[in-house]
Amino acid sequence: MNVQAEPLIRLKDVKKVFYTDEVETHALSDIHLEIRNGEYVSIAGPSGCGKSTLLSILGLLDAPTDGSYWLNGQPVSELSLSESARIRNREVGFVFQSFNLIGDLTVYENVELPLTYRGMKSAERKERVTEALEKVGVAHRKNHLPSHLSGGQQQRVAVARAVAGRPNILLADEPTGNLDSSNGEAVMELLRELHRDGATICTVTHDPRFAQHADRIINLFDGRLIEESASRPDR
Amino acid sequence: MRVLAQDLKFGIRTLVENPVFTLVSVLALAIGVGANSAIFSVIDAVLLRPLPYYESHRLVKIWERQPQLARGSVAFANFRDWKDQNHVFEEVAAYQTGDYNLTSGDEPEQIQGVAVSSNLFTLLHAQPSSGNTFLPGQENQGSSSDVILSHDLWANRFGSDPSLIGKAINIDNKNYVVVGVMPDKFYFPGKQFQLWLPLSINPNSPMAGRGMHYLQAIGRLKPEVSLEQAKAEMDAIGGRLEQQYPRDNSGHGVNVFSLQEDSAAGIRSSLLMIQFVVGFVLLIACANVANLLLARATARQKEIALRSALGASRTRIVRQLLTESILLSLLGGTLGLALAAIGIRLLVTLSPGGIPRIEESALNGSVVAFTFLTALATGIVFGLAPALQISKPDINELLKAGSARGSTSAASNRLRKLFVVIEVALSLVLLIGAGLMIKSFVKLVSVSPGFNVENILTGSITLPNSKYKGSQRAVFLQQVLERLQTDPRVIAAGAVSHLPLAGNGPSFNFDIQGRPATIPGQEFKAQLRATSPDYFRAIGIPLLEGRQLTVQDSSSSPNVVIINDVMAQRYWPNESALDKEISIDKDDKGSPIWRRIIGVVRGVRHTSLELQPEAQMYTPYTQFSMPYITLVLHTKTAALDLTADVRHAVSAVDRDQPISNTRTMEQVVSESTAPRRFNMVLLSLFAGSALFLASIGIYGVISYLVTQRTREIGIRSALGARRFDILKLVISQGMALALIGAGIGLAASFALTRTVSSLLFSVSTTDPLIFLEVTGLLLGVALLACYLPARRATKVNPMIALRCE
Repeated sequence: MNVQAEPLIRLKDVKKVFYTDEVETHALSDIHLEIRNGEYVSIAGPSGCGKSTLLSILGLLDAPTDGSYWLNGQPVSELSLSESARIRNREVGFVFQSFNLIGDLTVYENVELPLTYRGMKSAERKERVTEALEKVGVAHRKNHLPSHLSGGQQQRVAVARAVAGRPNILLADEPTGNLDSSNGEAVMELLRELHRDGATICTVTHDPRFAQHADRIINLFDGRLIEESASRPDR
Repeated sequence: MRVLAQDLKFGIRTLVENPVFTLVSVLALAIGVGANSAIFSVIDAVLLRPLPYYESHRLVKIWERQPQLARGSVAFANFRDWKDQNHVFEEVAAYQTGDYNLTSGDEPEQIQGVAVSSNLFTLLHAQPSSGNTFLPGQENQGSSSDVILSHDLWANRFGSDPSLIGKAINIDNKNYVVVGVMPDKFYFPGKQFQLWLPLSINPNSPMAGRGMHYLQAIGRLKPEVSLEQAKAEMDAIGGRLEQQYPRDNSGHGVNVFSLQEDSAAGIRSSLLMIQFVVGFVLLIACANVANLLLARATARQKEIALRSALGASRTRIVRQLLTESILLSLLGGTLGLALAAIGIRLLVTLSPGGIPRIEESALNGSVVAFTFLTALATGIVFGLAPALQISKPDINELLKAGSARGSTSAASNRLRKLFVVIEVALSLVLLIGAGLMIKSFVKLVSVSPGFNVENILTGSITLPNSKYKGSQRAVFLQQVLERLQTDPRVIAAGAVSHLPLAGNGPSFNFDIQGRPATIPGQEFKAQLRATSPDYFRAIGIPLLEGRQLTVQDSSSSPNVVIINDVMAQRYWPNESALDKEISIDKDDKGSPIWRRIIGVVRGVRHTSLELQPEAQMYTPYTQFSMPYITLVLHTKTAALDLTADVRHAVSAVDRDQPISNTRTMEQVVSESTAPRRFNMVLLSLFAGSALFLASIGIYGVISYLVTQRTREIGIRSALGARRFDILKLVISQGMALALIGAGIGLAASFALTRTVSSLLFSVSTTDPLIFLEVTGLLLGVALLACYLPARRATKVNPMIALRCE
């Protein structure tokens, strides 16, 4: 494990409030969080506690209502949409609960997609995509459409898409939520492997079994960070 | 019946519950159906509705076919032979239209009338509302003085005086006895003709020969004779006359057309072209609504699946869906009928003169039936494809509890894209057609007619033969012009027998002194106009060589003539035409009257702006008078300001002499291009509607696809797609359809624009610039139609990818 002194992610006093009609919902309050390079962090908590909101702020899909966010030493809480997109594309890899593969594109094209937004040359894209698909073990299905794959295989493709761009951090939102237990276990094993290879990972899960895979577990309750704990050493 | 009522009830409820969908669909259909109904009403009035004569299908128009002229006027002697020799007509009648000066009453008035052979009314089976028609053989008396009035003339000029029958009225300075008044709705040959006189032809005059072509002929087929039989026999008669009289009839024959077809011969192809165009607009509207139905079908998949699950057969579902689309189309038809009523009024107002019976265009039974049949057919056409498409739901999949919204099948998407491609292709064909017409028109109106059109006032006078003969006409004209020339606002005052661009004037054969006589069919020929000395100065035709006419060129001085440069170059290509002598007529002893060419002027476009100047010659009124005079005044101020002064000048010389058709030269030129302008405006209007509908179609489909792909767009954004990437994604999808449609449209245009070649002027049917510009315009509009939903797509929050978890 290669944990460095300078945090990759730093949140300070982050708040997120949603306004609907006359109701103010505090999704996140006073969040202080640091994630270092090479760490594997799991965000846990009951439904509606703000896990996904926190993850979307970390992934620059949403902006905090208040507070500051530094990614890789850069303040990113008040970026323009296009700057957010650029950083998201280069620094962050996403794995979603329901895979979010694009049905009209082949496995290869799905993995290649974020690289095309980077303006990367075709040969380099090919190399990266092939490497990522091989890493997750679905290279042999590269010309298939997602609908031809099992759920587990689809999530592997989603992981390949997330890592192909070699992001600084991999964000996974309930990556096993739509999988049966054996496929779920396999995907978590894949994330563990990536982590062993040096990837920084942050997952959201409400399943304590999978939360235990992480170096550190952050517990959220009603939008507040109530506890940080190291995971079990026997993981 | 109960099931139908149920379907109707549900259909109405569905339409009411989706007001935006209903409104947009009904509007699109109303535009398509309304345009078709408006044009159909004109076609019905002009081409389809029988002429208002007894058994009008048996009436034919008989023309003298002349070299390069299918519809030539008829020589009296030929007409007489046709009448005597044929076995196919119950009756054959001749007539000649003309202007007549009516002086009974307060103000003299120039009106249009017809000199007719006495059997015309018998031929038409037309009875007067009071009095009688002409007696048989009246035209042969040579000095007949009976007149029959139209109902309008009788009512407006004579206050519907019942005692007018038997009384004399003054026409062309001669008393005519009113023998009859025709019924209110009767007209012949057109509504502008208000009186009928017996055709009086002296059998010993040149007018009774074969060399003077001035009559028109009409016939009534015998009941058992077909048009083809009549054509065959008249062709044979024409051939015989050609052999018998080669000097006058060489190259001449006979053409027979149904009167109905003949009366609309000039406008038929234009109207059918416009009907074709509005058919395209309707198809585009149908494609639009079909697309809207397909989009709505997605939202209704669960409902259809539920119906299927409850036991509804596919036929039952298709019928329910078709009931809804027909309901929609009938609503569109009803609104279309209202739009058609406005459209008909516009068409009648915009139409150029000379379209027979266009004012009869109305929302009658045929038009209403046409509208609703069109609407019904439209409802089935645009409703069937979506109905068949969604009547096969995957019940199991769609009724799953978690299925939040319907998904669209690939087939449905393909169909939707196909409709857009068709819309774009059809629109492009129409736009290119309109583009060619507009360019044609712009080129036409920028053509120099060869004379000045600014600040020129014109007015027509027809001097009656009974009052003015020979030199008297020149004296009258001289006195009028002298009065006008004293007006300080007048720069020059002249006159010409036939004004350029105001209808055809006569062409005359001529001989050239010193050259052998020409053989039949190869005569020297030029348009002949009688002019006053200052005509060229007044209208701005420059003198290129020689001298102008002067007042010294009188009846007692040597005969002179001015020719134009076209004539000079054609007949004297390598020498000056000045001082050469030509003859256009003979004296009483049959010897040619030689006229010396004293000047050469620039050629002007006389017949139309489209046609190059033809050979023209101008004689002074004093030496070759004609009864027709058009005054031409070049003014310092606005030309129309002098209208009353011109009337006063004419009336000061002869208080019984009316002047008509007072208008500026700009109006004359504008009226000469009116038919072309009419076609252009209509085509542009409908092409614009097509473009509008197509852009809505593209917008609708792309907008729908964006909605359908919201989640995908969210995912892409989450993966780092920038605003530009999303714009590119959506726009390229829409533009791919537009480009395919444009490709098909371009190919179709190459094939179809040939059909409008006769309506174009100086523009190729495949004009590359128009093809390029119009395609650019269409793609530009398509780009805008794609951009709006694409811009919406860029606003998709990437959180959507997470929220759908």
